[in-house]
Amino acid sequence: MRISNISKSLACMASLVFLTSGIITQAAQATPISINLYEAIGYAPDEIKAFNASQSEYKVVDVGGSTGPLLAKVAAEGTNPQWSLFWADGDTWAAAADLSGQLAPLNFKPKYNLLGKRLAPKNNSFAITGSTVMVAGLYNAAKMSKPPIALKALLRSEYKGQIGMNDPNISGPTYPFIAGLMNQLGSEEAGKNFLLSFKANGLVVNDKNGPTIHALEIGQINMGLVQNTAAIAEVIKFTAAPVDGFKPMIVYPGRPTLMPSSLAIDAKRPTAEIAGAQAFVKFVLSPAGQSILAATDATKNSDVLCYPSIVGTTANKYVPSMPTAYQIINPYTWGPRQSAISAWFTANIRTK
Amino acid sequence: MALDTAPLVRDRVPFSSLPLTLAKKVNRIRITPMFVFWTLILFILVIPIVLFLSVAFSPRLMSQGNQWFTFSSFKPVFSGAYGTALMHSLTLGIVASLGATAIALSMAWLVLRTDTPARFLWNGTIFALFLAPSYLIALGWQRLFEQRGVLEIMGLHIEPIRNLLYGPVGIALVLMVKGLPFAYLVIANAMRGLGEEFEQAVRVHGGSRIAAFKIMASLLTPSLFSAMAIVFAEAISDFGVASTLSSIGHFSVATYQLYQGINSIPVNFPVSAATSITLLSLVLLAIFAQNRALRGRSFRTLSGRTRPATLTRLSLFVKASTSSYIVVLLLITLGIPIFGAVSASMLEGLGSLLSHYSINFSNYTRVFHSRFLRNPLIYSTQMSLITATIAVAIATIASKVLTSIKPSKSKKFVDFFLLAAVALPGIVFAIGYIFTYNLRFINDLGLHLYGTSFLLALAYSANALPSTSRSLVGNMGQIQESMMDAARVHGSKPLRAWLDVTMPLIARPLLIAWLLTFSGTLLELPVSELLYPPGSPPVAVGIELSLAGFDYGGGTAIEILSILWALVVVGIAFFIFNRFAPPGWKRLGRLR
Repeated sequence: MRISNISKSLACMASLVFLTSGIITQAAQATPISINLYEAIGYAPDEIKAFNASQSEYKVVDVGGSTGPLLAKVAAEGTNPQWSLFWADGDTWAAAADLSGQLAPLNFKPKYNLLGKRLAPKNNSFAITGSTVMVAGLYNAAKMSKPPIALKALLRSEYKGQIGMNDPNISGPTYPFIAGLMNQLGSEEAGKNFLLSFKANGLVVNDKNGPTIHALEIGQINMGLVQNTAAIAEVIKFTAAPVDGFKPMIVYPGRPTLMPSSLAIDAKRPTAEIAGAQAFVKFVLSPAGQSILAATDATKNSDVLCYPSIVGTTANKYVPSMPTAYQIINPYTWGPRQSAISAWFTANIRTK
Repeated sequence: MALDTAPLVRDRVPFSSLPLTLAKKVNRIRITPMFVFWTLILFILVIPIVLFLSVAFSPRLMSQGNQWFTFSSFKPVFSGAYGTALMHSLTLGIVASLGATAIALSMAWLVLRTDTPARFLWNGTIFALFLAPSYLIALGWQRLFEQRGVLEIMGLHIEPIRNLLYGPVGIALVLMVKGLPFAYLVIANAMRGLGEEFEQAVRVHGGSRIAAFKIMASLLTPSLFSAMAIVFAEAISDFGVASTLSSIGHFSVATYQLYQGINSIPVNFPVSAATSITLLSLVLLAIFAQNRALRGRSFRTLSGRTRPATLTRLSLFVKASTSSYIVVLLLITLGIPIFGAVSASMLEGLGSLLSHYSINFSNYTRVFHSRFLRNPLIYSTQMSLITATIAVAIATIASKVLTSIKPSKSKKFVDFFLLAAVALPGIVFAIGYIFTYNLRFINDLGLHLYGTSFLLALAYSANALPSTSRSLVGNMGQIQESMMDAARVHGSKPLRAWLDVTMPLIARPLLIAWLLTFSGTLLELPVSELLYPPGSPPVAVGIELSLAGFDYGGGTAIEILSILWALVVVGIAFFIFNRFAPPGWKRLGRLR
């Protein structure tokens, strides 16, 4: 078939654009050393801004998103990772990456406080930047005068149909709660039996924090088991603008699980990038980086409502005192079980 | 006119020491528009999908496990629970596609062919319907029907309806509403190209008005099937609506398993790929049904002599009842998401009408200065403009291939991959892109496409291609090819012949397809989230980040502002078309 010159030229131009754009993109990223930070932490952009302003050798570039899709992105990149730093809630993902030899250990010893020391990995393979609690029992004190404060109290008939939680398959932070439940009750089996009894007592399962809190607001439930930062944000909101008949308060049934935020460095990036990534982690854990936690308006950015892990850091003014009893689960033990436990939850708790 | 190039090929010297037959084949390759089209289809659609699906059998191929070949990923797929979920997805797909297509057909006829007064309302809001995110549709339904929701506050006893809504009926309804604008655009485009002569022939020969409507419907069969196929594929790939509305009914769908694999730690892509393969088997069923229905029939009714249709004058009673039908439908399709938006972004207090609430714009004034709005919206607008242009160009050729009378393997091939791109959730599609364009050997060639706006535009285009192509199928299937042949015989070059003959017939559908793609891309999330260039988040990612920080009011406000911005662009595009397009381009669909 004969072809017209116009078509041929168009086709050639398209091919050239296709080929050269990649090369141009590569060239554009030459100086300063660009470091991709995959993050699901609300105040990370502020840390990046402060770090980039503090030096000129490295430029940390923000790739923000939700934890789930970011982890999927990392997994899809496989043996050719494009991230130098990964920062998100939880430590099971970091432990899994560490076990597969993907992480470059920190080249310095962070000045962890007591909480940080308990949460940090012994091999210093990733940094702990703070901690939230899974779960807080956010309840409507206007309707529930005596909230359950023990784990087993959640199963009492007086709370039948009044308590809701999130689905671990959709809400990332919910798995540490379930793992913590099993850890606290002594075994995976005991935890499963507890959840089955909980279901029999009318447990309401919603997707994630937002829908569970809404169910509480409209009175569908009277207590939602959610991440403590979401619960604190709700308390702040209704303390500022009270509404009759709705008084959100927080309790911690049983021993809630501390869920650290982890910041990890990819070992497979070029040496210069790893050096820059180390500098960024050092900055985040430094007094300058830690000051962002207290300085940020928590009503607009709830991720700063975490418990600090570094000595001398002042927590945000809205952060309440730590639960009197709490537990820390071993991410290297519970991380690998997540897939099976979440599937069990789908089949036995979420589905009829 | 095709020339015999065989003698030229025979004289060529083989360019390598490859076996003669292969070298001959390579020598025969020409850079034609179709060659460029197939190359693009291969690189933006086929390879990413195939690489993702291959992980189900060979996890090691993409560094997702140790096994080179295994069936173990299919183990969860063969469980009884998953079988039930797959049947649920199939049923939802069928109900949503049939419902959306039937309603869209009736609406297209009322709006385009009758003088029912409310038709102007529909025409003015169709793009708003298309832009309403399923999240807002589901939210609106929830706010109305939930415990202590609006209807209960009004004193209505709606518990039985609520039980239906929070389950298969509600999910099918929302998916139907979501698919309706698309089905309408496809069918309306085709109806505009259908002259009145066929209906008149029926009436002249004594046929009733219903018989004439049936004839018109049968001539629209390609577009009806196009609409059904795409709504079906969208419905079976849905996850958000089903998971939102099944929280009480616990109604399982096939995509749940898929997301479970992706949300695992470590991520389990092989199981997700195995699940995707079962979803694609449902797509094969849809294509099989379509091919059976259209086989051997011609629907080429659009020619230079196509006569404009006449407006059917309705009686007062019919006018009242059809207008009520349109208004009720608008209240359901547009009123409910608007209510969801108001509830989420303007109600202070509990976010519902329970008690002590106030309506204000504080979230809107606040997000005007948000880092998630301005730059992300500008970037998304630029990307959407580029994507719409690329996608419409490719879709024009794709729809021509799809409407070819001759049954060919290439037609089935394009059809399958276009529907596969819809039936696979966006996140899966994006992962296929990472698999493909982040391969180390491609980087070693100096091509670093992953993480660039260029690749994002290609992925957006591929993602939009199915719906864009399908929106053109109805029209392309109506064009009589003899018109192009006549122009060529009279000396027009191919491009000139296409511009003079085909362009006037498809100008408006092309504009609508372009706007459809623009609007669909502006708020696209899954592909954006995984493929956006570092440091340049699109607006959908901005909204997601805002919602993730528990700023539900702010996030929804950004979403509404983006939708309004898209509507402004749609308005500008229609103004430019109506003001500056050649008169011949605007003739199709005009009524007498």
